[in-house]
Formats: sequence, C-alpha cells, structure tokens
Amino acid sequence: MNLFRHELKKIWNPRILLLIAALAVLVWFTMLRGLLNSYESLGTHGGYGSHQRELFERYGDTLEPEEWAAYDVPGRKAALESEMNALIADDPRFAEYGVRDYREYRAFAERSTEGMNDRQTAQFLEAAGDMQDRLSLRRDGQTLDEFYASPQIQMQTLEALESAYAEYGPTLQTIIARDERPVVVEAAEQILKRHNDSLIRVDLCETVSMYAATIGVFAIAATLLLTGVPLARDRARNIYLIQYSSQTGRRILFVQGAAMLASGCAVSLLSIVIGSLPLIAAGMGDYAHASIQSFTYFEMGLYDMTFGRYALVLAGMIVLMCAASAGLAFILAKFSANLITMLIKLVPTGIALSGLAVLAISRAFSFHNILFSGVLRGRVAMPEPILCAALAAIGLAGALWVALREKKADVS
Amino acid sequence: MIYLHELKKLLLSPVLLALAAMCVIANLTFLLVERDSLAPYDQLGHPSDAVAAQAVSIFEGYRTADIAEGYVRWYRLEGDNAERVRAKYEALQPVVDRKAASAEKPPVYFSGRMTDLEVLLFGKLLKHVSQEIGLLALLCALLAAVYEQMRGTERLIYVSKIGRKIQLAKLWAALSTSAALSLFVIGLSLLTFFVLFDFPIPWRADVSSVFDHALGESKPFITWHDLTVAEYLGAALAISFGLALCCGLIGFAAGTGIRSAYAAFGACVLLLAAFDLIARSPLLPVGSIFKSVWSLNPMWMWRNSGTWFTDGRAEVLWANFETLGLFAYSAVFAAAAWLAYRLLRRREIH
Amino acid sequence: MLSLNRVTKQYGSFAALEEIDLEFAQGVYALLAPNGAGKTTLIKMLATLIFPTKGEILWNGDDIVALDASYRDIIGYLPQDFGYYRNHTPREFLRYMAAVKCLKRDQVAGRIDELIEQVGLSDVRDKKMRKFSGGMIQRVGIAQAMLNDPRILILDEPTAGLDPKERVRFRNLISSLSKDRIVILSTHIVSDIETIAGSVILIKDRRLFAQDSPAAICRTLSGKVFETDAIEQIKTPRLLLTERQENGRTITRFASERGIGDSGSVRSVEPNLEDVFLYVYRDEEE
Repeated sequence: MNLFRHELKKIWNPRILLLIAALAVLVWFTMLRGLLNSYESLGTHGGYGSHQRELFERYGDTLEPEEWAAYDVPGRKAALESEMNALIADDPRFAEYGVRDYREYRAFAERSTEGMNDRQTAQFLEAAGDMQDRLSLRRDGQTLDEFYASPQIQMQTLEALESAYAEYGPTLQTIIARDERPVVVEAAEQILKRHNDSLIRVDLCETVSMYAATIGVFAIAATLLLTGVPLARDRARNIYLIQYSSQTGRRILFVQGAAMLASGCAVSLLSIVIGSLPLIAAGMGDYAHASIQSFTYFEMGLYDMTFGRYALVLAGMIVLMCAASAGLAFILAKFSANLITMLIKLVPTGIALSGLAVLAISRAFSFHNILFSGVLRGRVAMPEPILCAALAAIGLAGALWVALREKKADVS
Repeated sequence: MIYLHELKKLLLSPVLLALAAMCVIANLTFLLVERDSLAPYDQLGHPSDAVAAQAVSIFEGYRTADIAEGYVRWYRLEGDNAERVRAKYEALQPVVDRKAASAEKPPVYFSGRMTDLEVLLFGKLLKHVSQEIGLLALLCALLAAVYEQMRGTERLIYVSKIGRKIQLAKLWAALSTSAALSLFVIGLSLLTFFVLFDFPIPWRADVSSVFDHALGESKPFITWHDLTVAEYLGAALAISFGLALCCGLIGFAAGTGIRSAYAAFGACVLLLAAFDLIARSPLLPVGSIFKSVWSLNPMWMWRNSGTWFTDGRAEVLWANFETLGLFAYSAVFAAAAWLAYRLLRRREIH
Repeated sequence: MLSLNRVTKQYGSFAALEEIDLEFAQGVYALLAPNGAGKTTLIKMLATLIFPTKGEILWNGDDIVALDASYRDIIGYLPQDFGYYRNHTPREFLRYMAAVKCLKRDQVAGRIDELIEQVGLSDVRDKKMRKFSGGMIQRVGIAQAMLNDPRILILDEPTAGLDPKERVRFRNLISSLSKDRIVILSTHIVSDIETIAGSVILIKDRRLFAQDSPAAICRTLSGKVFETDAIEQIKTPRLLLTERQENGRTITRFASERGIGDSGSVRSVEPNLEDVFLYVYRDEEE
C-alpha cells in the first residue's frame, strides 16, 4: 500500500496537473460554456419555443392524453390566427398580393416556385420573406425573446409541438415499415406503444452527450499526460533495474499499473464531477426521472431508460475510456526507452482514443449516433458502451499481459 | 556533413517511420470506408453530360454583398465588426464580376459527381493529410531538438567545435525529414485516392466553376485568383507543406527553448489546443481584427482547409488568408525558434 | 596558456566557486577535492558548458566564451557519466563525433582507427556499444575527446567506477596522451594523481587552497604523519587518517601538529597525497 501511494505521488505531478488545469480552463471557456449557453437559450428559443419546457413544468415526466388536451394547442393556435388576421388586415403589403388573412398567407407562402422564371422567383421570395418578417414583428434590434413571442413564431413552435406529441404516429409507422435499422424499428414500436409520452427536452440528451464527449476527450488527454510519464522516466533513468532487484521485484509493475489505472479513473471521475456541476445548476437534474425514449422529427431516443441513468451511463463510458487510456499508456511507457519516443506514440494513441470517444459518446443512444447508425447500421443495441468497455478490456488486458511477460524477461 | 548525420538519425527513427506508415494506413482505411458510402460513378451522369444539361452561369449578377449580409444576420454582427465583413465581400465583388465575364472558362456549376470529389479530396482527405504531416513535422522537430538531451550526449556535443550550433543542423534535418515523410504520406494517400476513385477530373477547368459550392455552405466556390483544379490541388498541397513547416518550427522552438522534453511537449499541446479551442469558441467576436488574426493559426487553417484560396468565412477579414496566415505564423514561429536557439546558446548545461 | 582570473560561479546566493585564479601550461593537472566541492563546476566552466558569474577564463589572453567555436576546436572533453548511442558501434559513434567536431571526412577515417587501436578497442570496433563494460565505454569516451587532437584535454572523474585493472590502463593512457598538451582531470581518487599528475590543485571552501606538484603538496605534511599500533596511548591532539592490518595488528596512521618523533610504538612516516587530502578536508569529513 505504501508503494502504491508512492507510485500515485509520482503520477500526480503538480506541474503536469498545472498543465491539465490550464487545458481544463481552455476547454471550459471555449467549448463547455458555449454548449451550456446554447442549452439555456434553447429552453425558450428552440424548435418548440418555451412550450416543451412549460409542459414539463406543468405535467412532469410524462404527458397523458388529458394533459395534452388541457394544454389546448388548437385553442392557442386559434388565438394566434386571430391576432395574425388582424395584423394582415391592417397591413397593405399583404393586400398587394391579395392576401387577406392568415390562411391565405399560408397558401401564398407555400406556393411552389416551379414554372416561375428567375425574376418571378426572386419577386416571390422577397414578398414571402417580407410578409414573414411582418408577422414575426421583425425590426432592427429585435431580441430573441421578442422574436419568439411574435405570433408567427408562436404559431410555428406550437405546430412543431403538435407534430411531436399529436402527429407522431404516421412518421413512426413509416419508420417501422421502411427503416432498415432493426433497433430503430423496435424503438419506434415502443414509442408508438407509449404514445411518445416522454416530456424530456428534445435537446437535452444531445447537449449532455456532446458535453460528455468533450469531457471524455479532455479526461483521455489528462490521463495520458498524467500516467505515462513516471513509468517511462523510471525506464529512461534505469530506475527499473533497482526496482526489479528489490524485494518487491517485478511485482512493482502491477503496483504501477494499478496506480495508473486508479489515476485514470480518478481523473475521469474528477472531470465528471466538476463538469456536471454546471449541468446541475442549469436544471438538468429535474429531468432525472424522465425517459430518454422519445421521438421528434430530428431526434429519437432509442431505449427506455431515465435521463438519470443515461447520465450515469455516459459517465461510465468516460471512466472506461480513461481506463483504456491508462492501460495503453502503461504499455507504451513500458516499450519506450525515453519520454519523447513515448510521447510520439502517445499522440496517435490519444487521437485515436479521442476519436473513438467522440464516436461513442456524442449523441449516444440516439438514432443519429455515428457508431450506431453509420458503422453498425442500427443492427446492434447499445453499441456505444460496448465499444468503451471493449477498449477498456483491451487496454487492461494488454497491460496485464505486458506485466506478466516482464516477470520472466531478461533485463538488459 | 553533420546535417547528413542528423538526417540519418531522424530518417531511420523507427518511431517516426511507424507514425508515417500509420498515417498512410489511416488514410487508406478512410478512403475505403468513403468509397463504400459513395454511389457508383456509372450510376451518375458523366460530368460533361451534367455540364451540358445543367450548366448555370452562377456568377452572372451574383452579389457578394448577400453573403456578407447572411453572415451579419447569422452572427448578429453590429458596428465595426459588421462593416469589416461587408468590406471584405465588397472587395470580392470584382472577382465575381471577372469570373462572370470570363468567356474562356464557362461555369460548369452543378456538375454532378464533382461535389463528392470536392468534399472527399479537398474537404476531407486533404484536411487529414495536412493535419497528419503537421503532426509528423511537429514531433519530428521535437524529437530532433531533444535528441541529445534524451541520450545524455549533449555535454559531449556542446563542447565540440560545432557546439550548440548543432541545433541548426538538427532543425534543417528535422525539416528535411518532415518534407520527406510528408511526401511519402501525401504521395501514397493521393495515389490511393486516384486508384480507388476512377473519375475523370477536369484538371484544366477553373476550380470556381467546377466545384458546386463552398464546402458546407450554399454560396459559390469563389477563389480570389483564377485557379484550375490542378493548380488548386498544387496550391493546397503547398499550403499543407507550409503548415507542416510551421509545426516543425513550433516543435523545434519548444524542444530547444524548454529544458524539459516533457514540458516542451506539454507546451506544444497547450499552444495547439489554445489555437483550436479559442478559434472555435465565441470568445472573440466574429468580424473583429483579433478574431481574424487568431483564425489564421495553423489549427484553424487545418479545420478550414476546404476554404483555402476562397473568401473563407466571416471569421477572416482578408483576401488570400491562407497565404497571409502561413507567412505570418511562420514568421512568428521562426522568431520563436530563433529566440529558443539564442536561449540555448546562453543556457548552462549541468 | 589557459588562465582563470578571479573566477566566481554563483547560483543565486550560493557560491559554488569564489575568486579562483589558476594558470595551466603544458602537463597534467589534477583537481583534487571531495565530492560537491566544485570540481565539476570548474570543469564545466572550462568546457564552456556553464559560464562564470564573475571573472574570466582566458586562452592565450582571449576570453574562451568569446572565442566560441575556435576555443572548442582545441579542447577535448570527457564528461562524467556521459551518454552515448547504444546502437552505434565505436566506429560509428566516433565518426559522428568527428562530424560534430567539424573534422574533414577524409582525415578522420585513419584517425579513428588509430585512436581505437590506442584505447585498445580494435577487437570490438564494429560491435554495438550496448553490451560494453563501463571501462570500454570510458575508453570510447577518451577516444572521442582525442579525435581533434586537442591542445586541452578535460577529463571529469575519468576513472570513477572502473575496476583496478581498467584504472591502471586508463591512467597509462592519459599519461601517454599528455605530451604537448594541457590535461586537466578532476578526481577524488588520489592514487590516480600520484602516478600521473604534474600539478595538483586543491579547492577548499569554494576557493583555491593550493596548487603545486604532488611532492610539494605532500611536503606540507612532512614530519606530521605517524603510524602506531597503540593509538590509545597517544594523548596529544591528532587526526586519525587510515588503518591497516599488519601481522595481526592494527596499524593506525595519524597526523599531529605537535612533533612526536619516533618513540616506542610510534614512528614518523612520509606523508602521501591521501594523507594530505584527509588532513586538508578534515573539517568537511568530521
């Protein structure tokens, strides 16, 4: 235990920690903060305006049919239509094109440009854009809040909400009939069965997974920077000869490996804990019991699990990637005669691990995940954590093999 | 003579050779995966057919001010920042007018398969290759700079007649090795590309006419100078080499100026991370001079390799930003390398 | 002529060497001092690896730092525990060092073989150095230092870590190389000096303590060194130097400022450099 503590002390070098802290500051200001700001803004300025958030605040994790009815989307839409009818009636620009009310405006705006010549198309696009600007109360210096409070945008967000929670059926049916990804079809069937009732925010899983992927890449870099050095240095300075001939002997490699693994896990856990504080402060914890299995036109959560569990899975994936990094760092350090050659090997390893981490963690459990859809064509369920676990197993098994092999190796 | 010795050390370094080989293998794998996702060429119209059927004179009457206004709206630019973006696109208008008037290079806009080629070759492969050779150059220079320190031979060498001037021979050797390894990676990657994608490329056609549109955007592919596809490829490779040189200088400066090899490596990581992350972040407002200067750094240049020789995006405010950035940053890193060398000359070796 | 004028080396507020004045003409000079006394600091200054904080080191009247490459061209340096390329053969390594020393390729080949011969490594000249013993590596080190036929040969602890046979061999080698040049070697092994050094430089309390021939240095203790097999009977103040076994008795060698003279079990002996070393550095040792 004493030796383990010494090895840990060698790994947790204050100078390298300072470098990692500098990287962490950079990552926060340049990436994580942006993601968080975007999440906060999308709570009111997203595809559903503030409606989805309102539904969640009013009805909790799931949306029952009577709750949907009580939200009265048709009534709200009718009120907005009247408001826009009044705007159109008062504005001569609409009358120029024979548009007298909102319905006629919709018919005008949705006209096809086929058959128009270039000039007519340009004129039409200009007129339609102009009308849209008037209905969204567009003016110089308009804030996003004002924009989203305008009747046109209110109408758009309500329609989007309606398509997600009332008109999802036909699209899901199409997916069930045509999609070639078995796991997606299965998820679509489940969502249909549960009436797409999860009120989880549409951008929550994406934001959190991207955030987790960023933390994952940072934690991998931190693990590699931190753990590889002492072992490589022991080797470069021939300290390993003294270590091998001591009472501990070559068992020291197991102690060093364990210290590297523990450090990798500690780095990942620290990154996760510190990184999750702003997420909790942004109110994401409120969705802890909401199911991630939901469907909109641009997003589908595939599995029935709560957001809280999803967040834990993401955290687990980061820890596994760091364990893999520690294992690989052990192997590379063992086979490097000096620091620089180890670093040259660490760089591509780090890039590859980071790439795989992004592939697995970013948009995990969504039908957009590249590993799930692009590589495995939706044939395997939950491939993301499987990949992380496999990498961790490879890293650790490799490290174990190297340590065992060293037991009987001649040392030159 | 010492240069040859240093060159031999680096060229025969197993770790560098393995890294270069890995780059080629990674590119080969990438191209094989991409080939599977592309529709077979035979199923698409031949470019000449597409040209005949769909040629559109895209530059005639095209207003670059619209691009500027699009960016101003997208980034919500105001005041001087908005004006600077507008000024850049105003300067681009004569280029568009010239392209529109150019009779000998008729626009072949929307020429079918060229989109795939453009995206794959210039948008993806070139970006990968450019990043790989930059990384190779950085590590090669770092290795060269700390080679003697790593092996404990620096006291022997610094006391010899050549003394600490050996670092200069090491720099030239590192740059030569980087160039050789870059040629190896680029050569094999391009060879693989042209073997895998048997597609008649209109090498002598104007690139602004051949490429459908700027990568990831709806605006045309407007180059400041008239370049054929062949010239464009050559120029893009030249910029890639230049960026690799920049990286070599960074590695050399860090390895020579910083006593600890590991700290030198850490400094490189931190610098490149800062270049990348700050350029991508909203910390610096689009349209500002500082953002534009920052965006000329090698990391941003790599990320945006598909925009070289064009207007770029709103982030950069100047024409020919890739050349400007390359020279500016090369000069900065060369100065850093020289400073590091001066430091080494005065450093006490214990 | 190599000379040091009031050379001081400071690290912050700590002075490693203070106001050293020395002159080196042809011959072997041995820097003798305990570990940490500043020998290596002085050697490194002579090799231009570190620079004096005050004072100057002159070669024929010119500052060696300003002379730059032209000074380094005339020195050969063998550092303590120097690094080498383990995968190189002695020949390859010497070829590389010749390049570093800016020696012309056509002149070098013969010189390398000659030096390899001289240091007794002919049999292994094309073998990788990874399996070489410490003595063999040290011989490669001296060969590289001699490559440019230096006017000044600087050797830092050249015999440290060598077995007695290697040490004798190395001393003979240095002796043979010392003609027509300045050889400066730092050591704390006094037997090395007694055999080959023409002049001994003692550094004490960071300052130059003495510079003279070994015999003259030894004479400073003349009449003050004694041996006895009954040390407990000696009541006068004394400094114990060494002990040895002889015919089952323990013979103690000691130094005393007061004349004791030959009496009973005590006999006066000729002082050697080791006695002087132990006597001069007694404060540090005790």
